[in-house]
Amino acid sequence: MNFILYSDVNDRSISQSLGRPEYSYYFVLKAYRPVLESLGRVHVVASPDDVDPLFLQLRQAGQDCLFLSFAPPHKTPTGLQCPMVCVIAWEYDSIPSECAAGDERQDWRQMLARHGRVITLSTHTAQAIRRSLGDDFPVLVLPTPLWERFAQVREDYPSVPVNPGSTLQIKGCIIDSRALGLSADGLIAPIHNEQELETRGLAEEPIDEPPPEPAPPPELTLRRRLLISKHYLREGYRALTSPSGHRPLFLLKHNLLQWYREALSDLFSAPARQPLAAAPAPAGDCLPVTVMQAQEHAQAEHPQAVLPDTDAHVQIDVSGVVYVSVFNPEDGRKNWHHLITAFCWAMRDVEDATLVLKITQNDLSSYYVHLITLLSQLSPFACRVVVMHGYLEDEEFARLYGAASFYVNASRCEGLCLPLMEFMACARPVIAPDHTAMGDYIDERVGFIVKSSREPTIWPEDVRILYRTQRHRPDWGSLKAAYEQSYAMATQRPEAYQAMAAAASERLREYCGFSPVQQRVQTFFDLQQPGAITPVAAKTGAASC
Amino acid sequence: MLIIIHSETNKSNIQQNLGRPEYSYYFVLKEFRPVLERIGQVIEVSNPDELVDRLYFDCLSRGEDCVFLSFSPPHRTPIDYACPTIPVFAWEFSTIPTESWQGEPRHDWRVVLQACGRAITHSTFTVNAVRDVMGADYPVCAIPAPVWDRFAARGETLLKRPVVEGVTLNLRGLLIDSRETDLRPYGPPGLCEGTPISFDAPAQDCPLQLEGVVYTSVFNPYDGRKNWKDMISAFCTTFRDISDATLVLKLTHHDIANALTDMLHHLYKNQFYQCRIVLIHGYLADADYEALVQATSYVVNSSYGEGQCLPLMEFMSCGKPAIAPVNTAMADYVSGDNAFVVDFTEELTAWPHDPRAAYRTLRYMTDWESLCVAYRDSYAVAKDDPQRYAAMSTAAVQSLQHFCSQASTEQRLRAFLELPQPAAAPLQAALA
Repeated sequence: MNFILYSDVNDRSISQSLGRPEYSYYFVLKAYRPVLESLGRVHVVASPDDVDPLFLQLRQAGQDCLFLSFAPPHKTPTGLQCPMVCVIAWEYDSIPSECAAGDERQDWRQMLARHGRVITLSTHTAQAIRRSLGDDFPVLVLPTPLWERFAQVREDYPSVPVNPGSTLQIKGCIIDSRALGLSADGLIAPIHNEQELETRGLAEEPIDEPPPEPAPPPELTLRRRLLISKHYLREGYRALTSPSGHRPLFLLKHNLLQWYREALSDLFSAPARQPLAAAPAPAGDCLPVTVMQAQEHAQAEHPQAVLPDTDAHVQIDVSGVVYVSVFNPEDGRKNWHHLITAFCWAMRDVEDATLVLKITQNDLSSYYVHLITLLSQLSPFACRVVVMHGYLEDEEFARLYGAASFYVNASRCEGLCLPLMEFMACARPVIAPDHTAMGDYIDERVGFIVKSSREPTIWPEDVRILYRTQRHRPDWGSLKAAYEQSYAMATQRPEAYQAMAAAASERLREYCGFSPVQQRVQTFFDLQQPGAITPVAAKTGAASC
Repeated sequence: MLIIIHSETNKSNIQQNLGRPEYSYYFVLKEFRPVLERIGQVIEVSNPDELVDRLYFDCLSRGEDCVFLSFSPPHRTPIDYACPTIPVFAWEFSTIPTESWQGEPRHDWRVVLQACGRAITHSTFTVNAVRDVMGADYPVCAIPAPVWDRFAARGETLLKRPVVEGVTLNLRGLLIDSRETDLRPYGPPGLCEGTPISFDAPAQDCPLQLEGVVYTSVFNPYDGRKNWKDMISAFCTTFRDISDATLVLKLTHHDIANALTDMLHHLYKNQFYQCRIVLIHGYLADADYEALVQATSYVVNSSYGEGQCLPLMEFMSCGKPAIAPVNTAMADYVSGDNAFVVDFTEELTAWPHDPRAAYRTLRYMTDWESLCVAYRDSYAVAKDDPQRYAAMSTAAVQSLQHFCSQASTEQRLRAFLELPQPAAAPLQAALA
């Protein structure tokens, strides 16, 4: 059998694609490749146009061929002669099944029915597909095999509930809550205008006549938030670099607060709103033209806001009970506010608890001020939050796996969650929900489960933004309790911790070891492997669908 | 005894303050007043700085007792009067403010509570939050606004049918009916079509016909705690294919346009549904408010917390079972006997008036799925189980009598102010 593989993102473009929704498809392709190589010949093509010529050539030579498109169905090439199958990462309860804007590719049912079968990463996605295409539609649930890759880390860094001390290194920058001098009082700007006072209910009550209605500020569209953010980043930069009568820190704080209030405070007061990533701007963009011009002018004057240097090789020592999470703050599914607020609240009097956040986002300015504001709002707290921004070499990443007591996930939905699986493969117990893809490998034997309820949401590609599917609303109280319980276990019941760590590693071996994954592929495509065929492992969460 | 009362919002400015922070203190004051009048002589003042101590010294010279009830949160309660001052306040967060900012020491409520020496709030939940900080023996009492008598009396005359058979009420103001509204103008930018509704048009007489299973909620849409998005989306999801379920939202605010646009956008996002959503903004005459209550099968609340929630108390006093969470003040009167209970979880938030937005307290986030289940189960009861509906209705009246009747309020006030109880105390049994 010949496997022809294609993903929109490839080795050359991956560095620019970090954080884009498609980028995880590239990792999936890379992870599947050795399995496919063990079962046939693999050809990775640079363009969908290369598929059919290769197919025709191989057919002439009397060889079987299958094209695996690592892309969602609406981005999958059509009209090919080569038999094909989509590999789908998906994290919602239903698949797009409406033909929006006359584009039939938006209706995944049609695309998948044409292919006649599909590969997904999770049982949850398989269920969503079968809900639309019928219980007998052939779906291969194929997690990415990664257990073997972590053999060395497992050997070098045995699980330790309370880390006696490790040094983490990164090329980029490290933000350490203990070094920031955080204070919630620093969030109060010295000057208030009338309108702010009124919205805060602090204005003097008018005695005689009602006050004239103030003109409403422009609606906070995404674009406007961005402009406001840029403005204050620039102002913050100027405060740090220009000579002035005020102390730089004062000006920086002032700008931080103004930025927070104008660009974000409404998000804080109503976190139930759709996250930025999912919520398109509301109707009517009221951005005044003058503001645009002023911004452009200012931009020409100060082309780039400068934040901490992100090119340095830096390091930090962490110890105690160390929680790690890896995510992109721009990804609305990750719910990272809860990750931090629940940690800081649960551990506010605990000095030896540390939350290390490895950010997979190249642009520090996209979250820096937001993060510092959040930490200021939470301060004072005795525990520690460490944010690592930048690129980790393999050895540096190994140290991060090794430093972790627990991995934490509080997502609204996941198509797979590679970092969570990687830390589990390194024998790290977790705090995570058991919904969506995580339902295949998370239960109370491998970690502390974050409860959640459902909530309506849109299909991410649906420009009509109609509620057509559901995701999950993590239960903050249960996340907080999970931090408390895991900390108590790590510090008081090391044997229970070790049992959980071993269970996490074992679960991942069953779930995404090379051999079980290889057998699934073999069974699904009815392939003969040279050599003996071992029986398919029938395990919970690893059952073939 | 002379009882001086004051709220910053009063009769003369309620119209423009409707929906502003602390506007509801005026309604609480109005509800307390008749009961206070049974206890002593009541004077409402609009300028307490000028009048309270003058009245107090008059009383002193006559040898009469005098107390000032400030219907305001502690940070807006004066603490420099000679007259004994008691803040009467609503609160729905797990902790009371214990930090000060902007140079105002009263933002630290401990300062005010210490200076006043006692306080009145509306729920057991808040009494506990105060005592967590002030000590278990701090004199603070849960006395809700006594709305029961008026609404229970109305309720007695109403038909208590779970399924409404066609009621028409007349509204003066603005009425938006999802069945007759083009929602295309409220889609995302670039996909908007059609003409949006003009909210500036003069108030009109709008007849509203209701039938089927009718759910009603009354709230200020700018109040972030009310969580109307969940209320609407769970309703639309649950009743997507059910045409005789209606959600009536009576909105309270002096300037409604932005909220309505936001709500219509949300209705757009929830499309398509067979059920019906009606938005009402405007004045309902007493008879029509009664008609709305009568035409209601269930009253709905999906808040993150309530200091007491007057509309919920009013509808339940009338014998309308609820859909509501058992948290904050609602824990004092909502239960599985009189409501379909909505689950919730805690979530870290800031004290609402803290300009630093520092995370210091908890609110109670709705479990959306359980709200859907509550809608579904309540609909089934309305349709198929009139006995259970009647039992829930009776339980609602009884719970609210216990919670907020004038008699129980009078008794609690007298006990708190250390005044003799009224001679006849028929309520003793009910309160036991």
